[in-house]
Amino acid sequence: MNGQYSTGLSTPTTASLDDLGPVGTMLREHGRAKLSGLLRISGSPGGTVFLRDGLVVAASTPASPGPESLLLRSGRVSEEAWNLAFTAGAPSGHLAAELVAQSAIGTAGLEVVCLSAIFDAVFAMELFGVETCEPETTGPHGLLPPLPVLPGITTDRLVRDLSRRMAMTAAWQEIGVYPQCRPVAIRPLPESSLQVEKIRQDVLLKCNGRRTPRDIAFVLGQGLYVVMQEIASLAEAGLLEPSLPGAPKKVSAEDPTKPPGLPQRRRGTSKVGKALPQRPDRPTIEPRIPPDLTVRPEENPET
Amino acid sequence: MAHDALLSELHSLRDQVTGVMESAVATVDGLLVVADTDGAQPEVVSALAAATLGLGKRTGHEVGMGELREVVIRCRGGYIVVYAVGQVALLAVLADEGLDVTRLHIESRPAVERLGALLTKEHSAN
Repeated sequence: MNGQYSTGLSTPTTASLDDLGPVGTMLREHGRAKLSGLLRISGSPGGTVFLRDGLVVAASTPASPGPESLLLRSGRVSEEAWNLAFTAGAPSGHLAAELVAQSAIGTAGLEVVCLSAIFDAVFAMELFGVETCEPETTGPHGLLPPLPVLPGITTDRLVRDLSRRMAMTAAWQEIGVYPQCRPVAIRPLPESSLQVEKIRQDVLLKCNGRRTPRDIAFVLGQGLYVVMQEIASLAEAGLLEPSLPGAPKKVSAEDPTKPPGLPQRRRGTSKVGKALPQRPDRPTIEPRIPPDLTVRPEENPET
Repeated sequence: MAHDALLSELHSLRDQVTGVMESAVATVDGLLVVADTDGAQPEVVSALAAATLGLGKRTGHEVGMGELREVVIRCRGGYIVVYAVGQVALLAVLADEGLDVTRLHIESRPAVERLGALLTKEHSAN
């Protein structure tokens, strides 16, 4: 590969920014209609966008990590602080205030995470594909997911950002980085103390050929877009292979060489004694096979 | 070979349902048949899933809620879902917290049916 970071990280042309995808079109339409409610977006996997007076206050989808995953998985907020704040604040809708009150995270830091979760969710829905969209009016007091951004983001701002991100991903597809790819690390990165390098390093370490960019985003508690950007850049640098077509998937099984058949319960067959951590005060359970079973005649399929 | 057919069922479940990370098929008494796992220890998952399924069935029966659909365990970092596969086996699915639960419910039923058919074939061939 020549020219590190060339493809995929260039500025998209203005023509591609004017091309609204299905999610962008729906957002703009219902934003202008000042909807207070939600948009149920069906797709693979689709998601939900919550609006108040035409402003987007929250968005959730299985395709990108929400605020809770971003805060907890990345270690920005501790499990204990989250539990305390959730118990105290979630029923009354004051989770954000409780998190800040407990000094778990600063107001600005929290807002950045919640905002980026919305941008990321909208991007993820568009990227993974959308079939239909059903608006539902709930009024200004409808139930919202935890950690909404109030008063909300204008749909124009969201749509602008969405177009920019979609134009970027179109460039990444050319080098094989797409939402369903399962990248494999080829070479490790040299050690670095820079924070930016740390995310790169973390992403590369999770590229084991099983995980999609979305799976890595959840494991690390980072946005889908950020993770895809890192994967594209790592692929450009030749540190990973974006996808291996027809790669053998990791198999673990009783014993694939044996003839098929359900395993039978005999002492030690489960191998649980070997899999569990050994304790010095407990003897390991070894299979005790009765004498009449120690020599089993070989099954010959031809007879 | 039935082993490969079982494994490809597990792979396609992971491909089709956003959030599914690992899965395993085991006998109802907790012996591993086949697994598509990454970090989890398949033998341990099989044994614990069998216990979970037994407990779920018993609890459902005790409170009169009818036949067991599945046992769902939700943790901070995701879900563990255990399905009965016929009378002889079970399917354990491990997923992250972003799991598309609706999709899993839709896709898992036919997957369980197909796994059941493959296992019954094996069982009767033995």
